[in-house]
Amino acid sequence: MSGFVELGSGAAILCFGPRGVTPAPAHTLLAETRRVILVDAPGSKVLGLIDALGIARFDILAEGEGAAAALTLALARPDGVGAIVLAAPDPLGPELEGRLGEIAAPVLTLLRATDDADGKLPALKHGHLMYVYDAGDDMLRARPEALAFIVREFLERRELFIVTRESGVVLP
Amino acid sequence: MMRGTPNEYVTYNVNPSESRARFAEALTLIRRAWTETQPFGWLGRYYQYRAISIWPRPVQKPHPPIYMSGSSPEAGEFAAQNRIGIGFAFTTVPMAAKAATHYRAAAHAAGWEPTPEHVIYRAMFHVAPSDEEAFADLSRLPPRVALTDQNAAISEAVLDSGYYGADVATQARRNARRELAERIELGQIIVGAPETALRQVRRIRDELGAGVLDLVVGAQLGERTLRSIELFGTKVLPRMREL
Repeated sequence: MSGFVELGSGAAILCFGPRGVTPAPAHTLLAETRRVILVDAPGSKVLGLIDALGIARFDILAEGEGAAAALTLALARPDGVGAIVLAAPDPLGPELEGRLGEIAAPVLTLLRATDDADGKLPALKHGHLMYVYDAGDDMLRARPEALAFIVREFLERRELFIVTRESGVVLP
Repeated sequence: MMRGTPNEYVTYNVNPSESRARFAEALTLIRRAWTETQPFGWLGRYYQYRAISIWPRPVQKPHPPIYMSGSSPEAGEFAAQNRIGIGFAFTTVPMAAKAATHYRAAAHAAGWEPTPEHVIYRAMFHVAPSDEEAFADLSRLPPRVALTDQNAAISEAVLDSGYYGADVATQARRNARRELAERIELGQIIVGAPETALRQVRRIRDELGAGVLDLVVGAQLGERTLRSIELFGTKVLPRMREL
């Protein structure tokens, strides 16, 4: 089967983005605890790929142009999607934007701190916005530890991520 | 907005070598908090928040004017690149003039020209009916005592951290201990009769191009301090407006 690359094991994260099946440092970090599947297949083939891999439940991490593929998949498989992270998403287009209200899964949108949310943030029912400082042109490469950390937090705890579980203890 | 002073990093046990990076991130975050109209999270290097939402919103749009301390070349360049004003405090007019020139050149390179209102100079002042009286008033004050001056290890450790940046030789002696006459000569403090004070103010404008003067009461001397404030307000300020 072509069009995908797998890293790690655990609950599945489907990843879409401009880099295709080449993992970014953040993907490699996520693969320490998760099954990371980088997908590079046309939209019509993605459902077939998921079924062939036997993945009934999955989370999504999408970058840039991959946001449209990610949300299209969420609309096609509402029962399969857990949570979605969009990293610096490209505009989705009017057709997809008109259907965003149907997406029940929580979505975290990560924007570069130099970008503005105005017009860039999908109108989602369960959407969260977060700015990534010093994100460069490619936040998964510029801030891999930070990205892997927040993606893991959001995918595992979903909307409860809003309250941190990081300990404040300085020296035990 | 200020990076702070070395003693603050010592007091709060924050590594001074990270002070500029912390400041840059904090400024970016504050600007975002002032302008973003929906709740947002922040994934920084030094700061992390899951939900920021401030109210009331700033009255000015997009936000109030921002100034930062700009004595070091690094600070001047950062202010210029971010199109914000600079302020000088605990320095001298010649040092501030050099830093202001650097800031303007960096702004020009970044494609904009600061106005006099982009430059603030902070000075302590004490005005009396005569120069002699003003000088005598301030001569009575005990010498300034600062945490970082009193402990050689603190002073050395802050220096060693790289806190002062590339121009360490100048930055570390901005606040060196000086005699009153020298402080007046360097424009660090405005002292004298109203006519003298006005001359010192004019010099700050002419040599530095500062359009905003931030005045600090130079001495807590009771009635004499009240008289100083009144003399400044009635004899110096009206004539400053004509400069």
